Amino acid sequence: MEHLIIDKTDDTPSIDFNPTSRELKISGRSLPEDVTTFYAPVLEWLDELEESPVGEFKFIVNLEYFNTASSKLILDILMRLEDIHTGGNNTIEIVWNYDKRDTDMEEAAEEYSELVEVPFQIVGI
Amino acid sequence: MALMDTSLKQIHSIMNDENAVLIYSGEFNQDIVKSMLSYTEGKLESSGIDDLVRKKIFNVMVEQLQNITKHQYTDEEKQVVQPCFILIEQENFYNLVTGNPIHIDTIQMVKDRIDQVNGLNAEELKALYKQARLNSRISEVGGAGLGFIDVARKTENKLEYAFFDIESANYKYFTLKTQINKIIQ
Repeated sequence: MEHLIIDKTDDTPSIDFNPTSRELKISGRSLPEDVTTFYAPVLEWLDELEESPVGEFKFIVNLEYFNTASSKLILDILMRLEDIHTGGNNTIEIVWNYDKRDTDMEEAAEEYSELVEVPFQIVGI
Repeated sequence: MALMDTSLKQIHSIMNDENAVLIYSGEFNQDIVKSMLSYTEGKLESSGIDDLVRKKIFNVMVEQLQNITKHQYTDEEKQVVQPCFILIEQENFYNLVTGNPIHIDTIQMVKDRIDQVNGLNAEELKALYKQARLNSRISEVGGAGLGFIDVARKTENKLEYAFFDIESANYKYFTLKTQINKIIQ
């Protein structure tokens, strides 16, 4: 599997999915005009991961902000991770870091954690 | 154009009487939205605003501005009234107002959605958001159909709206006002 790197811009987050360190990171802000196109390579990478038995992965979220359209795509990503985790080839742990004063983001993370059956840590920093 | 005269008078009175952070009228696209966001963030930061309030304004602005970007166009030859965005500071809150033409066939749907959101408390809004997101499909114009619910949750205030007549048989002018409290509980 290839190392997926997408640099951050004003309206899209950075993506750093490293198959060697087994850390999958998403950081920054997500408010692209076209969420489907932006997240397509991310979802494709995860499809590939589902097929490849590699081991334990950590999905690390450091998002400051995301719009509602991104929120839908993030749910798609988390559900894909759940499939991978429950499918058997790999295990996933989600670590969602947020600014501890930001209760909107904390609540968003909690809501996601209630929706997917994957070990899910929510960490206020 | 009676409406335009009234609107302009209203905008002038807003500019004179209120502390306007940003007033924009014209075409909306992603680059303009980004400029408006970074301008507003800079201006608010230098005003010494609470970070959390600034973040909430940013959140709500993105939804409102992207909503206009996606729904601003009419199928009529000339645009009778341009979409607009106004952010004004008042003593205890910030007001965010958007305006854009809306096809008469979609008015009822928009009204129903806002009325539904306005009728719910925080817990009910949370449940609606979770359910709507699970069922949501990204539309042709790139929306998830969650904007009004999200704005109501983030602002914790009711959404105010109106539909004004314009010089068009098929369109009215839709205005939406949201309010963000300066003190977050």
